[in-house]
Amino acid sequence: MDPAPHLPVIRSGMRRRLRHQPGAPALEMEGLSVCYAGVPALDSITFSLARSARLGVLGPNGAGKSTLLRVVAGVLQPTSGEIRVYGARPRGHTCIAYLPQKTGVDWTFPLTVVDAVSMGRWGGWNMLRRSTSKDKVAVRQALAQVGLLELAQRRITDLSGGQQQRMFVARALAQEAELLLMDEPLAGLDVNAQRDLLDLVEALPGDPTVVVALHELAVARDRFPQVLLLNRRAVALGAPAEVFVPTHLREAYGDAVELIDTHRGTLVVTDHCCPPQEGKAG
Amino acid sequence: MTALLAELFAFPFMIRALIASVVTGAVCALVGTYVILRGMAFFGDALAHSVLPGVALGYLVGRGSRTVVLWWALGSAVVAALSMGALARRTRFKEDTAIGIVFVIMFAAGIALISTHRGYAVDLTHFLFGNVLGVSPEQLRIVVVLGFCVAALVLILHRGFLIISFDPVLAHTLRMPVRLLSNLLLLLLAVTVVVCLQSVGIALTLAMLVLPPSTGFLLAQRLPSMMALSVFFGVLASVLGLYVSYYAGIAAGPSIVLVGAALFLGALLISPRRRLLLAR
Repeated sequence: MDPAPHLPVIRSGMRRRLRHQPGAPALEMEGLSVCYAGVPALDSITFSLARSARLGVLGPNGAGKSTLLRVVAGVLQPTSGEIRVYGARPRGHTCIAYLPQKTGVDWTFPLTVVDAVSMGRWGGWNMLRRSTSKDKVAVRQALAQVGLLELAQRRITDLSGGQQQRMFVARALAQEAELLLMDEPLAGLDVNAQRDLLDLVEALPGDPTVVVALHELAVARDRFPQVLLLNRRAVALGAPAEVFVPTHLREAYGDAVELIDTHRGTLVVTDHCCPPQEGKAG
Repeated sequence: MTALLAELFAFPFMIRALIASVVTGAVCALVGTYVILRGMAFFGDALAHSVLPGVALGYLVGRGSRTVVLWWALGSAVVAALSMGALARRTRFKEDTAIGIVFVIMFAAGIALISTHRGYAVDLTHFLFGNVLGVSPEQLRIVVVLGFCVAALVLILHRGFLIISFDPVLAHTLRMPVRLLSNLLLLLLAVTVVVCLQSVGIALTLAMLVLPPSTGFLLAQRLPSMMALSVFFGVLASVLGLYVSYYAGIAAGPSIVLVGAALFLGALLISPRRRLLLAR
């Protein structure tokens, strides 16, 4: 089940509608705000993210993590502010892959794993033509890279939670995505499946930029070089050691966290998310 | 036995009925696949009922011409489909509430129109409950052409329809024309409803949209095979239903639907996923 990162990345057959500006960061936001019916879900977010970065986005429920990802994906329009992906507006890219939450899709659909991964190749008007042999090779390779080749003909409803997430990663690889947006991919996964998925994301071929919304502070501290703490506003952005400090955590989570100072740092006890979990930071 | 089977085809009206119901069965099965995958059954039923004011007005305008009625019904269905979509998008009502609102307004308007005219009642029953044996050559042409267009579009665009149904966000990130595709699907459903008018009628259109695809869903592993099986069961129900109707002397519409239901129950019994279904 190990990923096979040694395989070369195939980049072919996918027409890009937008040229990326050379040297532009993968993602830039300036004073970005999103309101739902007048209520702000994101408020003046400003940050930029280098190419090939791995960013963990954390915050309580309703902090705007999903909203942030959906704005980047081009599904939601910001109410105000600027957003640029590789130097251009998000709508128009086909290099962005959004990996939905487990509950975001209907798993009873009559699809096999290979069907679902093939969807990554149907960008723009490709939906009108038959799959080429290049498409098929790219899909097989993506499946091999996430270790799902043996399950290619399995129905998606029969996959485990970890396999479902790997399938979405394979779809993003087939899409030749350069920016992966993962919306709570760890939710509902046991510790082993979480580790496998994070290993896979770390070793992704082609070195894409990855933004992951997640709840697990300890996982973010251990596995992400950069984290963004969000609570409608960007509370802090940087290395976990700088971000996960008591003032920031209290600002983001309020009373939902209990901070206990220990000789090794600050112990964070959270109850904002089910199931309750413990994480250490600092 | 052969003579018995061939007996039906001695009558031109029977042949027209057979073609009309086969086209209806096939087209409903194709579009119905998305109806059940997207959870649009209520929408389909509402749309079928929303053609009534168009039928009534068309009858009035065309002085009883059934062909004119079909075009007015189509207009009515398109207006209803787009209003339901717009009401759901632009207000904070849940989708089924928006559908219900348009449904009742259209249906009540239809009945109100019919009640103003005495001559209406008998003829319009044909549209409520279908009258496939009364299909005229001109109507049959319209049904076949509309059916062919719907089937062609569904097959050409099936990847787009699949993605907007399975994972709409993916459709956005792949730069698919999401709004266009979802409105087109509503329009195709509106046309399908009109194709159904003559064979199974307003009241039983939903059956043809739901039963054959559900049968296909039970037996198929993948979308293409689900669609193929749905079409097979839709056509089979139409042909067998006509025979049953002819020999048992029951109305054609309900007969087709009941055969479709029998096929569904049969599939439910042999389906590999039956245990899973019952366990839920």
